[in-house]
Amino acid sequence: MPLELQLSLPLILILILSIKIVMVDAKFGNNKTLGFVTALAGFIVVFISAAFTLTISPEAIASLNAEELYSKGTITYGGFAAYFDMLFCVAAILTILAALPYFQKENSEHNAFYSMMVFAVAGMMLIAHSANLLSLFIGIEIMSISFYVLAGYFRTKEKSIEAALKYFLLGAFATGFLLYGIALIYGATGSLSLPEILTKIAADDFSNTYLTLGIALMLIGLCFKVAAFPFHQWAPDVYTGAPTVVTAFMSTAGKAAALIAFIIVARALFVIDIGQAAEIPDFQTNAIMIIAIISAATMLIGNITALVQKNIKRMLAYSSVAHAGYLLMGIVANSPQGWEGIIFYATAYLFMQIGAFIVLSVLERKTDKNLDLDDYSGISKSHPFLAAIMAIFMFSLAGIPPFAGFFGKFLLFTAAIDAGFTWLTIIAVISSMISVYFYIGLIVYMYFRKSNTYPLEADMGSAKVTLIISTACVVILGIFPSLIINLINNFF
Amino acid sequence: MHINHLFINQKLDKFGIGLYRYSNNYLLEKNITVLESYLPLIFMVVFGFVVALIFLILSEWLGARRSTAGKKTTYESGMEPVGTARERFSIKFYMVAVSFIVFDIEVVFMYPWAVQMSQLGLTAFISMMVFIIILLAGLYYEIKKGGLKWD
Amino acid sequence: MSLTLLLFLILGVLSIASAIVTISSRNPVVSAMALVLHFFMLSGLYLTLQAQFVAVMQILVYAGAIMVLVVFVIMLLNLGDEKKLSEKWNIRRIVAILFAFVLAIQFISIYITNLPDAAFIPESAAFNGTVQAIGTDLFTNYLVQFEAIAVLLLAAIVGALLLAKRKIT
Repeated sequence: MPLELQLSLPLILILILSIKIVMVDAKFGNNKTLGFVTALAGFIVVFISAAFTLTISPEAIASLNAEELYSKGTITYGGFAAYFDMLFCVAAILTILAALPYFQKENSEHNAFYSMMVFAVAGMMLIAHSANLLSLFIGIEIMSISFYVLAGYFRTKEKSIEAALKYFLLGAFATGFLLYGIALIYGATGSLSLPEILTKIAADDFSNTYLTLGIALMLIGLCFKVAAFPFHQWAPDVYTGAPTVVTAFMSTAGKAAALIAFIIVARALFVIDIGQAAEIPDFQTNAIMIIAIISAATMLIGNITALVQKNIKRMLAYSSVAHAGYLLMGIVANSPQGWEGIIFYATAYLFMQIGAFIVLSVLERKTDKNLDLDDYSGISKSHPFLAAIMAIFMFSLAGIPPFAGFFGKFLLFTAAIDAGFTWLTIIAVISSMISVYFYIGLIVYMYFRKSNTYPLEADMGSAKVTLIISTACVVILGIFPSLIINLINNFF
Repeated sequence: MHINHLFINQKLDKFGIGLYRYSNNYLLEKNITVLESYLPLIFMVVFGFVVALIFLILSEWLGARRSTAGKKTTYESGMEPVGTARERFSIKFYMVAVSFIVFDIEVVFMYPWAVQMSQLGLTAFISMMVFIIILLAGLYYEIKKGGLKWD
Repeated sequence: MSLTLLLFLILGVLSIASAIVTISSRNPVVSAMALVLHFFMLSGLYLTLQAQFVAVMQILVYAGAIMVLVVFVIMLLNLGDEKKLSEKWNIRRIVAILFAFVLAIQFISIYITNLPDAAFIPESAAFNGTVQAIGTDLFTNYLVQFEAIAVLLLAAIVGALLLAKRKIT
């Protein structure tokens, strides 16, 4: 098999899967489990093929001549792209395992849900693989369109429709900014290829005016996609209104995809000190300072607003905004260390946030019942398993050792300090301390409050697999972070 | 590729239908910009607007105006007008319009392929077939789910 | 004044004017028609940039297909009372206009303080805008993206059907 075919196998397989799942839904629409089985099997196959491409040595990939490839160098192979392929597939598998009992409970047909999940993953994988602004944009569009539909999946429920509409209108607007930014960057450097853009910037061969405008507009678009301040207002409403399993997927894998887009763009537009350019351009210093301010504001606002929430789903939505702030610290650091921090934290965050949302989805009734803090009083008596793992997720989200969230934060904070952003790290530590209050608050409700008169029902079904896998990953990544760190060290 | 097009375009040019505008070499030779080569089209559009405007103004200016109660009512094939003119349309029109847009955009990608097919060879042909197959899956889905059903 | 500049000025002014009419008109049908005019003006602007294929597709897709959809939506919603559509002058609106104004000033100041090189259209642009050039580029350099667009359209078909159909049988 030629090397390019091996390397692009995950992308080809997800393309085949997206045709297959649509055909399955069209042909066997009445079969309740066939769509689920197809999607699950498909994601596992894509996961294995992506894992296989990780084993191909970077030297072999680097030796490929872009002109001879079918992709003509517009696609990155192996390395972090393959890693993110795997991550997105894991997120999708965890989500659809929990979605099966969730949709059965809500009496909703769910075949189309799996189709949209496959499309979303296809878009995200394209983002991770892109070495060209065009594929980046198309990937972001595929992902966003799938998310708009998924957010409004319960189309008879007003909240879900409202979430979808809000997300669609604002998202379309943000996409406009992103596209305009891409156009201006193309105008400034004369190329859509990211490596070429980097060469032009390092050689000081670009139009400063258009590049500054382009970066500013692109920053707006990307900040919207990661839900960073001041473009975060959609996130709580959309995350609360969307079906809980969708929120679990959207707020983790979607955020990871937006951040990998951020990393890809930052690697092309910002030079790092080590020997890439004679001097750092002015626009870069300014842009990084702006991202640092956005990052600080995002974590403070997310955590402070989460303090006053009574609804747990909304609280987690705000905390997800805050986590976008932490993750942006890696972009601010603008070093391989910072990007590795982002990748590790995105991985850890994916497992803990999916886990927390799936616990909510298991206990939830009629989409918006049983989501308040009061409903969780004394839940440790009736559901000791759920309460215990929820406590683990909360500790991890708060960044308490020995769970995965701690090491993610540790990596990001050290990267930011090394880059000279000590003030940002101090703000990050302060906002982490604020966040401890509401994360531990939930644990206090679960363990130290009198239980409710009406016990909550929990029927987990296959969601149990999701919960066990995410708990295991949060704990294992916390105790042996080197498992992932050794892997991602080779990426940059 | 350039030579090929120049050849075709020169052949067409003797009919004087302006197809030479596609040829870069021709434009450079005659020292005209693309926009200038579209000038006849722009003239035609402006001329069309002006003629329509003239007729509108003339009929307003020359025509007699005698308004009666019968003339002021909405014309509805000689019947008495019933209800409001602003009927709500069924959502099925909307579904058809949405499908139309998607397949319209699909066709947009076919023009460049069709024009360049002889030069591009097998790779482009196969990739276009993949493109069409993916969208055929969409069409199949739409038919099966009753998206085009008129009930 | 060259022909290009003259046309650019006419088209630019008309496109901005029709865009303003689109968002400020109370009658949705007037808005839709102003939008059609706007699309035509944009198409003319693309021509001044030598993008011939894009100009034609702008008319075909936007002024043709998308406007049909817009008119359908207007008929679907039956916005009887247009007075309700007119927005009141509240604080949010004033702040929004203020911010838009600030953004405009920023753009202009960036543009003025470091003026980019004099605008020129390279000779190759005349060829790059043709159907032939786009076809060659799309099927050699951007094959992957081309297939990705098929997935995008597939997602759009499935998504639209999912959201718009009231009951899927």
